[in-house]
Amino acid sequence: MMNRRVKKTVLLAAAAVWVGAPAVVEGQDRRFPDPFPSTYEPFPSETTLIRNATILTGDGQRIDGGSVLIRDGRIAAVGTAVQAPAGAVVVDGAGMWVTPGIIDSHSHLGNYASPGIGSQSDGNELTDPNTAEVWAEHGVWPHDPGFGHALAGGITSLQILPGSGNLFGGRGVSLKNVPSRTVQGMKFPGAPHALKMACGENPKRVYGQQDRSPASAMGNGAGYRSGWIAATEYLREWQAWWDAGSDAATTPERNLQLETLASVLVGETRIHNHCYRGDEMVNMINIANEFGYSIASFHHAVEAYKVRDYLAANAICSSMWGAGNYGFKLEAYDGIEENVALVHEAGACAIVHSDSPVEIQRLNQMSAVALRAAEEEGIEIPKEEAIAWITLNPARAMGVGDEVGSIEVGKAADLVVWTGDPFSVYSHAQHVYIDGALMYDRSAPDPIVFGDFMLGMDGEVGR
Amino acid sequence: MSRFTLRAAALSGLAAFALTAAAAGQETIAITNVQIHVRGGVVIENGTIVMREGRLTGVGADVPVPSGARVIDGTGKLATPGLIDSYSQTGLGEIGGQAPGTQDAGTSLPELGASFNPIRAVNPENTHIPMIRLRGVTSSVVGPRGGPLFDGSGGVISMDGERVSDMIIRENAAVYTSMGEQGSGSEGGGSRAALRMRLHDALQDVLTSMLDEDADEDDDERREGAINERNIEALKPLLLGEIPLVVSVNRLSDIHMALELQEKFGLRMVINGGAEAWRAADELMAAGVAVIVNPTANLPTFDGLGATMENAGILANAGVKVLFAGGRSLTHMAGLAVANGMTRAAAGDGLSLAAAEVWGIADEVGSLEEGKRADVVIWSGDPFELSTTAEHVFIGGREIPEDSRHERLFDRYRDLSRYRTVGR
Repeated sequence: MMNRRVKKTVLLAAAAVWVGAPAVVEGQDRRFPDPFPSTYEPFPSETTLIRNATILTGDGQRIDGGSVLIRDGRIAAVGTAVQAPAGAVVVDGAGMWVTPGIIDSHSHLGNYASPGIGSQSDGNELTDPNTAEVWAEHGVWPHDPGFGHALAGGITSLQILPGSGNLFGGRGVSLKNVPSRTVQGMKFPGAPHALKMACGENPKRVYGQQDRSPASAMGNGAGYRSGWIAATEYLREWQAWWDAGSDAATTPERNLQLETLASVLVGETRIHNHCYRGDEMVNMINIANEFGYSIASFHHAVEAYKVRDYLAANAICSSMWGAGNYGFKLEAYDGIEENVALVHEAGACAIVHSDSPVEIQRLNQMSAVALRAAEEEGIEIPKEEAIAWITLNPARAMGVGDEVGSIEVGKAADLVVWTGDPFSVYSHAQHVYIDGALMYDRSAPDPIVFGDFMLGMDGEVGR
Repeated sequence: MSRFTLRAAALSGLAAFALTAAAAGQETIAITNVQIHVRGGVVIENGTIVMREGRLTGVGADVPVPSGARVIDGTGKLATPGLIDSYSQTGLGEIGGQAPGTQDAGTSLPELGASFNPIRAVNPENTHIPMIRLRGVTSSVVGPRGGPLFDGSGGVISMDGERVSDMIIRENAAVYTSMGEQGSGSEGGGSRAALRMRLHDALQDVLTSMLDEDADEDDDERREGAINERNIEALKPLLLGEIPLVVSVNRLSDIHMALELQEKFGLRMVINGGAEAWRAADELMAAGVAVIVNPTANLPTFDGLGATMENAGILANAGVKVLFAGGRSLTHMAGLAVANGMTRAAAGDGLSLAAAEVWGIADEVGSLEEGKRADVVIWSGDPFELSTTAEHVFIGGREIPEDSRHERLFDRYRDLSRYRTVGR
C-alpha cells in the first residue's frame, strides 16, 4: 500500500520544480479545500520483475536488456543487473519494450462518454462564458467504455478537462485509469486541480451567436481580465480573513466561481489553456503576467512552433496533436506535423495529447507520426526523448511528475510492457500496470474490464 | 538529404530543368533495383519500373532501362501502386469550421438526391490535396456527404491536375445512401422502417421506369411522392449493375436490411463503415459486398455496439474485399488493420487493385502493370509502418514536388532568428 503522507511530500517538490508554482497539497490541506478528495486505493500487486526488455525510462534514457522491479506498487529497481527477489513474478521481456504508463493531458472520457448520444454530453456548460464554478469530475461517468479501451492503449493516468466553449470552462480532474464505481475512486491522489480556459474561435462563436459577450477576440480578452480582477478582490478578502486568524464567525461568503479562480492565484489549481494560434498564446502569457499566475500547458497549440521560444522561456508546456490537425478550422489552418518536434527541439515542454476517445488509444502511434514528420525534415529525435511527450511531460504539466511519468526508483509502478517498439503500428500493450497492479493483460480471455454499460451486449468483443 | 534541404536546392534553381520536364509528366523515368509490389501480395524482388509519357511501359525483373531515362536507384526501397482512398471529400472542403463557403460536399436541395454530383465542385487548388498525395495517395473516391434518402453520386479523381476535368478518372462511379441511425433520422422519416420503405419504393420506381420505357408517356401515372426524373436517371446504372450503391451502415440488423435491398434488386453494394460487418462476414462474402472499414472504430454506439478493431481482419479473412479511407492517414489505417488481424496482402490490395476493381477503374490504375497510368510510390520501407516515408510519388508519370502549405509553413518557421532581430 502506498503511503499518502510520503507521496504528498513528493508532490510538493514536483510542483516547485516545474513551473515554480506554490506548494500543492491534498484535500483538506489546501487553502481552498477539495471537499471531494480521492478515495483511490491501488489494486493488489505482486513483487514482479520484468527482465531483458528495452526500456525507455521517460526521462531520456534507453536501457537495452534492462529490468524493472516492482515491489509494494513502486518501482524498486531499474537497470541491467536487477535480480529477482525470492518469490517474485518474473516476466520475460525478450523482444518487448517497457515504458512508463502513458498519460493523456487532455481527455473528455466520462464527460463525453460512449455511446455518444445527447444525454452523454457533459463536457461543456455553455450557459455563461465564465463557468469556473463547474467541476469536470461531477460529469465523469466511471462506466464510460472508453476508459477500458484507453487502458488497452497503455493509458494509466489522464486529465479530464471541461470543453472549450467558455473563457473559463471549469475545473479539470486528474484520474488514475482504474475501474471504479465512483469518480472519487479514480481521482489521482494529491493531484492539483486544473482550470480550463479557452482562447479563440469557440467562446466568441458560442456567445456571439447569442448576442452576448464575447462576440469577438476582443471580448475574449476583456472576459479573462474581468474574471481575474474579481478573483483578485475575492482572494484579498479571504487573505485578510486568514491573516486575522480564520475566525469561523466572520468567514467570508463563498463564491464557487471565484473560489476556482482564486485557487489558481494561490497555486492550488493549474491553468490548462485551449489556444491554437501563436499570437493568442502570447496574449494569454501577457494576461497571466498581469495577474500573477502561470500557465501549465496550452492545449491543441497548433501554432506552438511559431512561438516556441516564448514557450521555452516561460516554461509552458504545449499539449499538441501528433499529426498537427491541419485546417479543420481557420485557427488550425497553420497546423503542421512538425509542431511537436519543433517545440521539443526548442527545449520547450512538448506533449502529445488526444482530445479524443479514439486517439487516446494510440498516443504512442500519434507520437510516431510526429517523429516521422520530424525525421523527414532532418530533425532527429531519439525515441528515449520522444517517449516523454506522452509520459513525463504530461505528468509534469498535470503536477504529478514526481509520482508518475518516468521509470525511476521510488515512483509509482505505472508501466506498459509493449509487444515491440511502441512507435510501431504493429505493437500492442501486452501488460499495463498501475501502482504495480496488473490492470491489463492482452493474453487474458477478457482483457478489458469494462464498466457496466457493456454488460449483455451481444457485440461485445473486448478489443 | 532532408526535404528541407531538397526544397532549398529546388528554390535556388538547380532543379529548375528537371521540374519543368517533370511537370508535363512526359519524362522517361526508370526505377531500378526496387522491390516491386505489383498489387497486394504480388512481389517482384530487385525489379525495374519504367514510366514513359505518363504510362507504365515496363515492370519486371528483366526490364531494360531506356536510354535517356532519369534513373532512380530503388535499392532498399519498395514500390507500390499509387494508393486509392475509397471514401473522401477531397477537394470539396478547405476549412471545416465557420467557413461554409469553402464546403461543397453536401446540398440543401433534396430534389437533387442521387443526381447530386459533387465531384464537379472539386477545387484542384485545395491545399489539402498536396499534403495527401505526398503520403502516397494518388486517387481518391470523392463522395457526397449527408442528404435525405440518396446522398448523391461519387466518382474517382486523380490527385494531380489543373482542372477538374483533368482530374476525373471516373465520374458517376457510385451512388450513396445512409441507413441505420444516420439514414433514418428526421430527414429519413424518423424510423428505420420508413427509410426501408422509401428505399424500396425509389428503386422500384426506377425499375418500373426502365421496364416501361417504351410505353406511352401520357399513360405514365406516377406514384405520389415518387422520385423525380433526375433521380431515376442517376439510379438506373445501379439497377443495371454498372455501379455500386454505397451504404453507410453499421448495426448488424441494418446491414441485414441493406442486404435485403441488395438481393431484391440485384445490386452491387459497398458498405461504408460497417462497424458490425464482421458479424455478417460470410453473408457479405456470399453477396459480393465490399466494405470500407474504419480500423480505429471500436467505441460502442447504439448504431454499432459490437464495433471492434478486428473488423477488417475478420472480413478479409472471410474473403470480403476490405477497402480503406483516410486521406493523409490512409496507410496508418491500413496498418492498424494489419496489426489487428488482416493479412498484409489483403490490406495492400485494399489500397490498390481491390479498390480499383470496386470503383471500376482497374483498367487505368490500381496495380503496377504495363499500360496503366504511371501512378507509383517509392517508399523508404514498409508502407504500413509509421516511420516510413513516401520518398517519391508519381501521378501519371509526373513526380509530385515536395511542396505544400505544410512545407511552406515549416520552412518559414524552421529558423526563428529573423523574428528575434525585430525584437520579437
